[in-house]
Amino acid sequence: MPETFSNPKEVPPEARSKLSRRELLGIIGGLVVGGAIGAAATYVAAPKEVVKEVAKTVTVPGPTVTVPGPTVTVPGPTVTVTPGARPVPTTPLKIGCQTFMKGGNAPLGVPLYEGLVAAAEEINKAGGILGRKVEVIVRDEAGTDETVKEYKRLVLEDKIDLYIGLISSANTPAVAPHAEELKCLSLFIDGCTDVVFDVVDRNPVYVFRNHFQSPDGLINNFQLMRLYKRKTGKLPTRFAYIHPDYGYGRLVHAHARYATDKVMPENVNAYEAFVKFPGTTDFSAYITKMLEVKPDVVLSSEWGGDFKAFYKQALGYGYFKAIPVFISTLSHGTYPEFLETDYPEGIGAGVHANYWFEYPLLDQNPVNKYFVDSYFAKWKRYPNFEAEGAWTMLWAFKGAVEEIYAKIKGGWPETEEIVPILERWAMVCPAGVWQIRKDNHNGYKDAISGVSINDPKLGFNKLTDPYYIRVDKISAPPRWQLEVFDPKGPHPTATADWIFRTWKKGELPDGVTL
Amino acid sequence: MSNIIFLYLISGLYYAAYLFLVAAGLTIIFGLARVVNLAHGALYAIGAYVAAWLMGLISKQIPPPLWYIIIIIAGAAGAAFVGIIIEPLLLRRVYGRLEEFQLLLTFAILLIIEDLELMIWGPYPLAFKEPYHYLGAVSIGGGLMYPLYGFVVIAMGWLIALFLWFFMTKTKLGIIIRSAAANKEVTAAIGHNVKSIYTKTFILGATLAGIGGAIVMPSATAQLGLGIDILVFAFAVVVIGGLGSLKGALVGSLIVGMTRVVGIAYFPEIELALIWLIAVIVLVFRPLGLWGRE
Repeated sequence: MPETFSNPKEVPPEARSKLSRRELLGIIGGLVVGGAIGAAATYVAAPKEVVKEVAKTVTVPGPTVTVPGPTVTVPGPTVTVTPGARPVPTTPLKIGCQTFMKGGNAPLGVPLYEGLVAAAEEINKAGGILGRKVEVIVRDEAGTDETVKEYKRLVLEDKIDLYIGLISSANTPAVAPHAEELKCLSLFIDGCTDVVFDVVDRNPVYVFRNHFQSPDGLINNFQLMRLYKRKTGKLPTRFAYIHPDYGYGRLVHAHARYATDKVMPENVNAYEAFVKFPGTTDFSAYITKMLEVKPDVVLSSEWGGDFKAFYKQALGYGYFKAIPVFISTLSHGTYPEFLETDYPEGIGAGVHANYWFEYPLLDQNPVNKYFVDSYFAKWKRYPNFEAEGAWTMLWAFKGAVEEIYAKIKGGWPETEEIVPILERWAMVCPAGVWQIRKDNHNGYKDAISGVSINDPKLGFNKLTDPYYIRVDKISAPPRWQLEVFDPKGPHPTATADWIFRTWKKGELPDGVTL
Repeated sequence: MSNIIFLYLISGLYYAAYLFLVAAGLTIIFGLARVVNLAHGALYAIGAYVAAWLMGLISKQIPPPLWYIIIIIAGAAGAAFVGIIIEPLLLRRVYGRLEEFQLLLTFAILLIIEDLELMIWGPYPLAFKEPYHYLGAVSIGGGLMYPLYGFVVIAMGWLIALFLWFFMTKTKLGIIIRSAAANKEVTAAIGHNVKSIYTKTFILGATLAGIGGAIVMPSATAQLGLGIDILVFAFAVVVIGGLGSLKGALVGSLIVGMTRVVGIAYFPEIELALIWLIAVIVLVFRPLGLWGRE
């Protein structure tokens, strides 16, 4: 493979890194810490809050005592801690995880678990977090009520120290309020709906998330325009949509419609359908309808087993030849081997705007190369964005704990001390530069989409020709959701509100080129 | 335009074909045993899983024409095997009991079978594509194509409907089943083993569901939860056509299949509601369905 190392196993030995596994771990640690320091430096340069010398109440077995001590501060928000009062527990750090471990959603859910376990094992081999080994307790993610029930069981009965997980956009808005109430540090990986921090949990403390949804619908919508323009020399006018009927599909559609109506006010919404998900086996009527209305482009957010049924049937109808440009935001988001080589080439390839294991190029991002190689070695397949998200989140947590530990000079930090560190966290992760924004606790990384191509060596269809848009160009600016967006107003999310208010009619937004 | 209408028509017939197989199995079992079998969707899923699994194993070793026979045999055998186990062991114990017991038990069986599918075939959807792609597609004019495999499924549905009519009206076993459905005491009194008839009927119903699941697999994926979706539509069919009536299952499947297509094409937000609206109208005017009986 000349530029892209499609299969790290196939890279000739002389081209592979000479670094040992331990050295690579060191690089990752360095990048994590380096990223954090970089971010810290930014915050140091920024105006800081006044730090006051205070005493802190520490609860110890027996009576509550007030222990005076020096104040340690970190850049940004005030954090007051007391050294030496809390020894690092000798018990393992329990991480509760919920993800889809079976069914049509498993192609997204199982990789999340695998990414988390991969990170946990690497961390344990490197000595744990402040010497504490990490343990993962996994529970199946299910419908909303059951997921909330299991979440509470993890927190209250299993007494987890940290929660990492969730795939569904139906579940994160339901779990978030419980996480805040139970004060359990909960790092969501997906469940990406913007509604979580725009509407449900507007001032988050204990809840963070690896990524969010609006860049997904938007970049793939622009990718449709770009591919159509590349093919015909002009922009599309007739749009059609087929989405799974739940929060994710509905919001992909909403963001795409907001953007299209601004950029191309004369566009035609030729057809839109929301299909029962998961479990739809027959798409023939939907396919026929789309062939009837003859759209220029079709945006979909179908994925997993349902998407496979859709594209198989669509092939039989000659759909991908009849429809000039098609993209599904998640066609390539499941584990990479999922799409076989019968998948059509040259159509849009969506990965939730997030991560495809060959980008950033493996020879240019040692973290990505390390991650892909080690993940493949362990699981015998390549990681998807959920695996990357879970892996990154646990490493971020480790970095945050160690950073605050260094400041308090001993003692296991409390959750309230870890939160401010995470709120300004930045690191180089396998997907590239990733940072958490303080005002909404979302992780930000630049959005990616691509084009499908079969790779005979890998034996599956993959993403190529990556198309990037800076994430801040297709998402609401900081504090928009608090200061401008009205959750009871007409727009479903802060980004939709921002598009409606600021994008100019008939123009591409700043930072977007086709 | 006529090409598109034709495409809608065959899309409706395609869906009706495999829906009929599932609904026919459901209605045959109810007609005799008076059990609303919620586990019927799981038997459909078993057919799908066994066909997908077997095709994954042997499709490259056997000539393509055999694929289509293997799919049907695999789906039928898988579901029949499960039927042989669950009818005498479990279902027989709730015949004649309150509907609550029957619903609870059959729902439990559905969940157990789902977990067994998870244990045996793992968490990911299974798929095989060869039989669908092998036949290719045919041009129906106006630049439109239709996959030939769709015609295979439609033909299969009608052939099995014909077989069921023949079996129920012209064969000795079919007549005995109808006799037992009408009056099991009299059937027993004239020397027939009613328990055995129940088991055979259940296996027939299971086999139909298994074939339904298997023949749809080349164009879909076998995944957990598969049986629930089809069950919703199969119940709509038997409500419209009448529980216990094969003719009702056939006509009900066509009504549901066509309504679904029209719904998706012109009222996509209320596709399911349209189908159940028809079911409600039928229930209001004919509480037992179009061909239901006491």
